[in-house]
Amino acid sequence: MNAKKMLTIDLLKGQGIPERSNPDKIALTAITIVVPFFIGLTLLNIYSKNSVLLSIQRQNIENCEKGMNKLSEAQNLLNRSEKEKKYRDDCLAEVAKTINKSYQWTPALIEIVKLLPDSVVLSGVDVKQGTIKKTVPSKQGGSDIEVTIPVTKLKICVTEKSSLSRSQNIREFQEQLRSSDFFKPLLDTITVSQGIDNYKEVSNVTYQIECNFKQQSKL
Amino acid sequence: MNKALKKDFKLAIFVWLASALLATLVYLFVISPEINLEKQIAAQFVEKQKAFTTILNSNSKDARANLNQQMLQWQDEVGQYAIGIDDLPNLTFDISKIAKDVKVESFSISSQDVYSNIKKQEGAFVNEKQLKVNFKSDFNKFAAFLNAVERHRPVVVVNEFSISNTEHDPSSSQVSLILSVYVKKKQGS
Repeated sequence: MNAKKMLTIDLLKGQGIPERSNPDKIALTAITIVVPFFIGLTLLNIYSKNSVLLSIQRQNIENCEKGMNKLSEAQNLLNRSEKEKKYRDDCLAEVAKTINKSYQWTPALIEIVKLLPDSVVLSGVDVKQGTIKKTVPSKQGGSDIEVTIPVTKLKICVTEKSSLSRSQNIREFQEQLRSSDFFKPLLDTITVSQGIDNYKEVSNVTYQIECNFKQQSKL
Repeated sequence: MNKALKKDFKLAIFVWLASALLATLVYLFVISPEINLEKQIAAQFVEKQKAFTTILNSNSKDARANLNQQMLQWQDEVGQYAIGIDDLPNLTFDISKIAKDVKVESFSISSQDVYSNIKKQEGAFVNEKQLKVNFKSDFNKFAAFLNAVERHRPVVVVNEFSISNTEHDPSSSQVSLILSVYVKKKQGS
């Protein structure tokens, strides 16, 4: 039996034959394009949204500035008041730095008079401020540094009315000073020196009570 | 997966990676600075708006009067602690008046830069000026004088003092004080 043979007549000679459809390739190509496209779109969206916001904010600032220029008198007053407030704060801070190291002496005098025994006469009070040099460890580390520290000395000069007590009253007064609620937190050391005061052929024993204040202590 | 599809898939991954890299670069160098700028401008706007509202609120007659009042109060507060250089002679008169009221004798007051060995304050806003006072009085008058000086406004600081009965006359003890006052520096000087 003779089999029928198909003859292929190719007049185009292999050219122009449509490619066979390939859905996998089409899908892959589409995804390859779509993903970068969406990324680009998202970025463009963010950028343009931000640009619009930026332009709105700039416009708002401009409007505010225009409004402020119209109210220049009120603005000058505000500026002046701010300057005044800053000056007041700075000035008071500077004064406070020094004033905190100073003392009020009236309450100290009242306390001395209150503690003074009846048999003792107050003949003088002397307050002096001086400085001492002290070596302290440097805050930045390294070797010790020498600093000048202000110190305050209070001298109380008293005379005993009678020498019979043999300075017992003075010792009591010194002890009272040391334990006084007022002076206790302020005083560092108390020393007593003794002398003779001759006046009109009468000799009186005088005492000088020297109180050294603690550094930076306040009344 | 056939060979051609595999090749296409490799190409797709390359395109995605390239576009992701490009997007990252664009975000880092274009969008991110833009977002930061927008945040700065927004903050600037909030600040401007706040300032504008404050100015708007202070534009009324009442608000202006309040501000002026407030400024006077601040000046007064400074005046409680520091004296103007032009008012320094008045302070000397004030202290002399206290001495007169207390009835002390042989009163003298002088102003000088340094009396005490304590380092004076030389600040940006105030200078310390020292005054030396001498008089004769009894202890009670001295206490009254000291109290009045310490209550004085602008503040007068008693740096040093001494009262001594050298002449054995309690009514005329020799008194000397070294006082400090804070003098305002002229603004802008």
